[in-house]
Amino acid sequence: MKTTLLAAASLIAFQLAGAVGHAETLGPVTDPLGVVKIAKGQPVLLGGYSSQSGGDTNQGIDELRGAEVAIKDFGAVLGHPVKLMGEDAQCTAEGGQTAATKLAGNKQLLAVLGPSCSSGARVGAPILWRAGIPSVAFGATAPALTAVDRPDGFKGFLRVIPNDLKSSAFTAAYVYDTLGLKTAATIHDGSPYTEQLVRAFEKDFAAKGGTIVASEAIAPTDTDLRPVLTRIATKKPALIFTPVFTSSIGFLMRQKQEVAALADTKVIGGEGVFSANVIEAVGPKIVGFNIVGPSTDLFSTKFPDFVKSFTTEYGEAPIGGFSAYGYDSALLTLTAITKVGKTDAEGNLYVGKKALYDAMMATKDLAGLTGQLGCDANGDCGAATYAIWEFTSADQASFAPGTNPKRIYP
Amino acid sequence: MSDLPASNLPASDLPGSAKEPGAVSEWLRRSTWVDHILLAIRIGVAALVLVGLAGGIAAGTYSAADFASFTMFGLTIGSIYALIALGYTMVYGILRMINFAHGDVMMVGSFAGLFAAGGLNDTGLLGALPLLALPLVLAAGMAAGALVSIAIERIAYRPFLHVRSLAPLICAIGMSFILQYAARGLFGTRNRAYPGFGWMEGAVTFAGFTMPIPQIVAFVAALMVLAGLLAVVKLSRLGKAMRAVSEDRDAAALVGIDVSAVIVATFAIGGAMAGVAGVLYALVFKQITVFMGFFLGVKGFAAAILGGIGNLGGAMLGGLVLGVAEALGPALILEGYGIPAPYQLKDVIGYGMLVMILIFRPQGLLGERLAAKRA
Repeated sequence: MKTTLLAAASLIAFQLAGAVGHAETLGPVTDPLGVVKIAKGQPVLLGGYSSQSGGDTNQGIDELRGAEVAIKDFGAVLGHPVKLMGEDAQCTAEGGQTAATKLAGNKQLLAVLGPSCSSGARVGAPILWRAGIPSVAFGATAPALTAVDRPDGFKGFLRVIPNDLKSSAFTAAYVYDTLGLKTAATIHDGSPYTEQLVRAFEKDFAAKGGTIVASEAIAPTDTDLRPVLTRIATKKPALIFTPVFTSSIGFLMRQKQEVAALADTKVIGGEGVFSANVIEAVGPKIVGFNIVGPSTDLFSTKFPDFVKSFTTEYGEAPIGGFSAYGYDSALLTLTAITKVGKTDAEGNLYVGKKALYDAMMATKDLAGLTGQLGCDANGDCGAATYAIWEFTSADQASFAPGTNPKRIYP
Repeated sequence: MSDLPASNLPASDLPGSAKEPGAVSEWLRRSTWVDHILLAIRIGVAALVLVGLAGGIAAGTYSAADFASFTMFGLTIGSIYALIALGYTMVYGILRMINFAHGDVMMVGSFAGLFAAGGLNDTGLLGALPLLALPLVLAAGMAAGALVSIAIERIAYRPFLHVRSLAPLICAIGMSFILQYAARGLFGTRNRAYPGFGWMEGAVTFAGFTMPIPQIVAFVAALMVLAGLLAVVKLSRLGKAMRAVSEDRDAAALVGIDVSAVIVATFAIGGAMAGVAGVLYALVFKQITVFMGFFLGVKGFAAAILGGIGNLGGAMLGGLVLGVAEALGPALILEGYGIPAPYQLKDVIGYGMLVMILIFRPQGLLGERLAAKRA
């Protein structure tokens, strides 16, 4: 398997290198990775892949809707309308592979927005980049995807959502410096996102001088967490950090009350539970529950207007900040296209693939919804606007970022 | 440890105690290399478990009260596995097929209970007569479970009644997906919170151990339902007919038993059990989703196999053993090996035990030796 992968990787590298030698010229544009010609009157095609089915559907739908709002706001690109072709990446490697393979087959696609999950990005992003299509993730936060030593297939991967490393550093600083807590326990559910985030938090917290007294894991399907909570209780942590998802948080917060030593222990969850649904899942014990998440009220001043146009378009308000990342992924891509696209006398549009990728990676100080977007050399373009949120009411209808949950730090 | 091999021998392989001195050599003479390997595996497993146990207890991470709560957690979830296992085992006993949609019948029962509780809450009955509300909610879950189960039998299994093929099995898996995604379309994917009944919030302290009331209610209710079911099967006319059909369907038809009616009754009772399991599960764990049936169904199926499929008492025992093994296993055995995050491996303990039991006792804990006759 390893050798097959290696062989495949070197083949791709060879093809990419080969492409450099055979630059394509179409109309006024010459590009080493190829040129996409969009005939007059035809739409500029963008792909999108996110979780359209499975447990993270709400997030995935919101992200692509956010992107559609951005496309509408942006208007025509060099005289061409823009069309988004959405695919379902679920929140799995298989889903990411299927969706990316389907998208990569479309030679007219300029770029792909998504996916929602790191597991899908891990498989999907290289498939797209092999076809010379860059992707801009709005939900995949795993550090490995933009690590300096990432495989070549991820060179075409960018993201507007902040890397988990920023989130963990922020959380560790809050717990240690602001709350003054010196011991913590962590729980992950075995997914790349939760495990890498927990590991990063443990490293940051220990670096500050704190002690991780228990490092536990559950399965996303577990319903009885009392044994693991009892085990954690024997280590007496001052805080539990656990970025697991809605149903696990529901079981955890409810069953924590049944483990006497943990009844008053503070819990900080991740941004995956930044939704109204977690209020129903947890019930009355949601009051006082903290999460670290994107800070929608630290988002740019354009965010309230965006919420309005989103609500008019879809008949419901966006959930948390997911849609804003969808918006920014489209904004970054469209801005780059306008920079490199060339029109000929007949009104045809030509976009060089390498030129587009370079322009996307060169994004600096772009005023997005989530803040100022700027890409570093590894493809991290997100504006890190994190905050600690606290739920204030167990009434599901009262979910409104700002009041419930309300921002308590910074 | 020295007498482990002897104590692990199957009773039938041991010669009479009169010839004690020659026992080992006699066994060596009569046994084959397969017996030796099986014996080695047994000793290995026993040693692994014993070392783990010793290490776990020596580590002293947990107090006696912790172990008591683990056991209680295990019995509670185990009694829910047991109720689900009953449905699998009854249908298997009669039709020799595994009804894989059974876990999703449980999910439907759970949602029916949720809506019943919501309705009772709206009419104010939940607050006025809290003690009456629980039986009503349970009844709603049972009715929905029974109805869905009967419908599945009529639509998906009846056409295959006289066909010997894998088709009913595939149909069962298909029905499982149909139920899941129908529920998803109707109820949505979000997690639903189950309402509490005022008197069920809180815990009681008994002999120094604190136990949450919903767990005790779930456990006792499960035992009562099982006792009722056993009474039906052992004492009633219907139960006699069920046993007859299970023994030999054709002969039962010959003596005038309406086989189709018995099958429908079996599915109805199995579905009702699943409905009870769904409501009790929700009372203990307080949140339900449309996808919860699958994993609980797999656990229930494992419990049915563990106890000996086709055997009602076995299903109950299998459920409780699986539940307790899951709850105690990581604390008792994995802790001894110093494995980090042992609870991630609780399913390994549960299913590992299942494999071990099936290696040494293919018919399950209380199963009868039916395989040869039926296969």
